[in-house]
Amino acid sequence: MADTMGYFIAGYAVIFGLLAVYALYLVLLGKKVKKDWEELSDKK
Amino acid sequence: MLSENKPLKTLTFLSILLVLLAFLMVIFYAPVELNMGMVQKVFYFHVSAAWLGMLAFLVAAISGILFLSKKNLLYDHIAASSVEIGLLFTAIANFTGMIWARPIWNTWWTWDPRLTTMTIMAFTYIAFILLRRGIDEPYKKARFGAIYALVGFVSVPITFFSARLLRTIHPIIIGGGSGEMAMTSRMYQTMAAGLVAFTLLFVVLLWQRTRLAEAAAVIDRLKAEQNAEEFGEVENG
Repeated sequence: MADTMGYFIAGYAVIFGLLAVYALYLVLLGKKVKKDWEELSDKK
Repeated sequence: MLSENKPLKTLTFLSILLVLLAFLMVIFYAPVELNMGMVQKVFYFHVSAAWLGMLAFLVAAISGILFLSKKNLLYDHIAASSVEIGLLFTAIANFTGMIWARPIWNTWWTWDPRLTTMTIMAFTYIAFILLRRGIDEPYKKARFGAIYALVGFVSVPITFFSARLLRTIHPIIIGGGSGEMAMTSRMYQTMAAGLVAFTLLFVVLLWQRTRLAEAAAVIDRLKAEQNAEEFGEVENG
């Protein structure tokens, strides 16, 4: 059997890495929307 | 704005749990393939990601039709969010495919029909996001997005059937006849777990991203109104 453990680890690192980056992007986007909303409410 | 959403929170928790469960099945439940070794196990999430990418583009096309018939901007937000998430899953499928190909095909990349059509599909939807950003007026943007999502969807069946209709070295999982990849029942069960987990994750991401897009659109509209009021005051003296 071929030893392909390194590629297995790399594959799942990519999968969970990309998902984590997108989740972080959503969290930051959520924070920006909340901040914009608060600024807008203060102006009013 | 963006008030607490309990069903979404529950679904988020459930999707994370299911993804982890599917990953545990990949490690401990699915057997190790004799020729390829551990790298074959990348395939369980690779297939799920590829499938979800295509499903996301289908959702975008359907949302496009709904926008064109109902003129409700919510459908535009769903379409744009779905394309973004579809690109995430397509990227996962492409990168994991490359990692699998290196030890199995002895190359990171080859211009195989499936890989080529998938890349064209990805670039088609990257262009969707970039071109859509160039339009400011919400309804113009939505109309452009809807038509693009419909036309762009042509690339999805071409990608799906490329491995079935053209000469390719890409494995076929389901519906490949004699060329179908040989799998045990445990392998099928693990693949099903991955598909269910990723589908739920897609629903959660789409829901969350659409909420954010809607909130951002409301803020943009209010900002525009406020600016108009300010300019109006200056003009009036």
